[in-house]
Amino acid sequence: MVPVEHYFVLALILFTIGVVGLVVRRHLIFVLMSIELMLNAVNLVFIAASRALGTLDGQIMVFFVITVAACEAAVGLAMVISLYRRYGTIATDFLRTLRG
Amino acid sequence: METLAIFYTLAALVILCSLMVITLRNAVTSAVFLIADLFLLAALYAQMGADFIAGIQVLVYAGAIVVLFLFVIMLLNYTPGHREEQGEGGHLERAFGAGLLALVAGLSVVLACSSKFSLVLPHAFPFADSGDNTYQLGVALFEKYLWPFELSSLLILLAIVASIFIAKKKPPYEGKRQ
Amino acid sequence: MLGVILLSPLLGAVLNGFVVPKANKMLAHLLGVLAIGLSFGSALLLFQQFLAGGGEPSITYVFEWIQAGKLRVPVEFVVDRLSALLLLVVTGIGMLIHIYAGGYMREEKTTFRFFAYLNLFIFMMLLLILANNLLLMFVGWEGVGLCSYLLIGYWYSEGANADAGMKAFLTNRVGDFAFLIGIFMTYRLFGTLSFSELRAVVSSSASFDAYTLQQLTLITICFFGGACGKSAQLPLSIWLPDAMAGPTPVSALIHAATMVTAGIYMMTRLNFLFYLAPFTMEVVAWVGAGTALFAATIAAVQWDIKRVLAYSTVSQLGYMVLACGVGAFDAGVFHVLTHACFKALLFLGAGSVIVAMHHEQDMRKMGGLWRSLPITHALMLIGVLAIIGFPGLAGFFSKDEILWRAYLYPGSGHYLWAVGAFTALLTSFYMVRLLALTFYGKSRLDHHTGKHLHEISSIMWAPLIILALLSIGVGYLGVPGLLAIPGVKPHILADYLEPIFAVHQQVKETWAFAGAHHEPFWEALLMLVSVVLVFLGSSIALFSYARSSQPNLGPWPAPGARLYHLLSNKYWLDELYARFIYSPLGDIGEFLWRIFDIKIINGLLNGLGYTILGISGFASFKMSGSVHRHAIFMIAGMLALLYFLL
Repeated sequence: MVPVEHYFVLALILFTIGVVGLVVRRHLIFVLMSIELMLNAVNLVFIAASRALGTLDGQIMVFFVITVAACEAAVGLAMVISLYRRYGTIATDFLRTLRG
Repeated sequence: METLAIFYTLAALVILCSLMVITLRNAVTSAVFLIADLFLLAALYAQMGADFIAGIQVLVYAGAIVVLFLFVIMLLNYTPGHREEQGEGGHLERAFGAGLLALVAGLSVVLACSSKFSLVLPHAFPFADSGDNTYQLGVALFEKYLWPFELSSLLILLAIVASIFIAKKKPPYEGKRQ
Repeated sequence: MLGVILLSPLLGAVLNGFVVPKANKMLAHLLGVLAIGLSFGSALLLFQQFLAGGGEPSITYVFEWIQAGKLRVPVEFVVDRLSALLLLVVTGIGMLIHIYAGGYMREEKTTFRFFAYLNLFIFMMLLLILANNLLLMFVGWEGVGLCSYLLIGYWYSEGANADAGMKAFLTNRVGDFAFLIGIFMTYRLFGTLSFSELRAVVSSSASFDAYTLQQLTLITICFFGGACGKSAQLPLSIWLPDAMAGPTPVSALIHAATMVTAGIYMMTRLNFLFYLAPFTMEVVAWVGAGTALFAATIAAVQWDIKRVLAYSTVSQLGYMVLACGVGAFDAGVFHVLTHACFKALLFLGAGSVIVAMHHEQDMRKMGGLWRSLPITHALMLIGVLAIIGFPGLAGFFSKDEILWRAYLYPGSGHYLWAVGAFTALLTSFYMVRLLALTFYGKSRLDHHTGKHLHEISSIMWAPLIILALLSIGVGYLGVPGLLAIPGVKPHILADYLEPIFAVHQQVKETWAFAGAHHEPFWEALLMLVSVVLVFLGSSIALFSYARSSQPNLGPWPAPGARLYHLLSNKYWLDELYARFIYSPLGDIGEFLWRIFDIKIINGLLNGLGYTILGISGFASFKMSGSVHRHAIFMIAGMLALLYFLL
């Protein structure tokens, strides 16, 4: 049996990789993929905890997280397409309308 | 001991693939590594007895979501090497990313070595080993979590409508801006 | 069964409000009548089953409405002797008025709206009656208030009507506030809001200490405040006469037969609490008697046919409240019953006159109508005889019962009786005056109206005939023991309602007077006196207003002129409110607006805004607009938070 904390550490690393990807990459597609990585890290924690606690609630949560991830990907990619049409680029450093 | 070895192998592969996802220049290869990543995670889930979620992970995540990514990448006719798609960010971002990674790597090593970090939790998973996981999950989903389940269908419907609306050929706000 | 009774008016309201095509008046009317008819039919069946089942109260649990800590409020409906009876009255009279309204509202454009409101009103009223706890009753209570507001302001394009609706709503709100406070205090004292549980708690405790009794007095005063608002008692009576701005069927249904009796109903439901608070009862009795007299005097000088009826309603409600105050709740309910019949009849009759006169309500422009409107005249005559207490008709029995029970009340009972009897004299005066001015004497119609005068259609007088029969017959439910009418048992209603009332043993002594010492001689004498007073009042009115020569249509001659002035201005009550409540409130509001709002609050907020603007100006200087930068700072912040938390 693998101790549950091993999974937590793995999830931590995975999440960090996702965060770093989010911060470093300028391309919106990569940003979205990083978010998927982070969501997967969370899923891993849920499943490990579900196993450790002996309840099914964690797995149900993963089910819903996957649902949300699917929606998020669909809407996010639609936005990517829309942005590309509008500005001709999806590099985030060109999208600076947030500038104060 | 054998399961532990499998776990370490899988974990190492997961980390490797994830790093590839965020470092590669080419979005298509990046997405392929993401698929691999998801498969590996599915294997981890299966190892923990979460059969149904492992299946879902492969079918929905790898099969549908990442394929959607690939479609979009191809639709945008992405070519690596274009100036603005150089993967690297500014100095601050890179420094931050590297620092964070180093921090977490160090933390992981410390955690892995120290005996203090050991959660005392029952490792029992009664229903998993009975091979009943999917049935149990179904019962829970349609009894205890019926309302969230129904709501999630609404969410998906909304996402469908929203993505169609957003990705329409002519954005509705085009006229107002100009 | 209960579901059909309750839901069919609601369904009717919804269908009429949202589904029925706007132009289809027939359908709207049909649907409205059908909805309430179904309700009435079910209520009849329910009543029959209820009687067959021995009249035991039954509680129907529907669902849990509020559950917060110890507070538990289910939606529960109670069918007992009281609510079953009121159910019949509301749906029955409501149905007749619905039928009539189709004829009355023939020339309206938006009948669907009218019937939707009416049906909604019936639903709310039924909710109020059937509720088994105070909070659910409050829902119905507010609901009927809302419908009343909507219906008073039905012709909202005229400002006065909308104002009248607002006035009714706001005045009721004062009472509702008291009611709500009463509910809170009840919960604090007893820990429950359910009528059945309250009753069980009260009857199971052996005795109450002084503190509880004091609290009970406060609670019942609060409840009575609520009843004052809804049942238009002094000093909250001002809204009811103005409520006559609504269509006449509404006046008949809401402001005469049903809604205004909600206060009496509530007090009767809570009789076991009221019995425990003799002080409150004294107040209730005097307010009731005072209101009866007050409204009757004003009614004597009104020229608007509907206003006379409105003040007579206030006055009759005063009688009912008086009955409650002297502990004769059964007599109060009896009067509710008879009053519902004859007042609906009178209002609908007045409505017929108004329709025939092309919406002329001033009695000075009527007169001699009995030739042109024989049916209406006959029906109105029955209604008037019933309300003034002509022997043998409904009002006679119920009013005399109240007066006799008031007389028995120890302490101030004799004075209460005197006030009530004098009011009876006034009642006969102003009601016969109404009849005389409208139907007898010389015709004062202008030429145009006279030519187009027409008797009302059958759809309008058919319900009136039923009401007229009821106005005669319903009184025999409460024949006094003194008058042994062969074939009619005395006190049918009182016996029927007996199990509703519960006098706690601690106050048994106080309420022992009722029925303890019967004095047939005095009862007979007082009855005779009130009959004489009725004839006296009627003769004065007939003498003054029914002669063929021109009656006095202006103020009274010299000695009474000032009195007339006082009365026709309603004792300047509205003006008093304006002087001592509205304008000070307005001044305070003005002060708060000018000084507090503009200077202090605005200054503060503007200052805050400018400060934030300054800070954010500085911050935006630091912003690059790069999403990545934002993300970095966000994550750094999260890490810092994590560090602090762990």
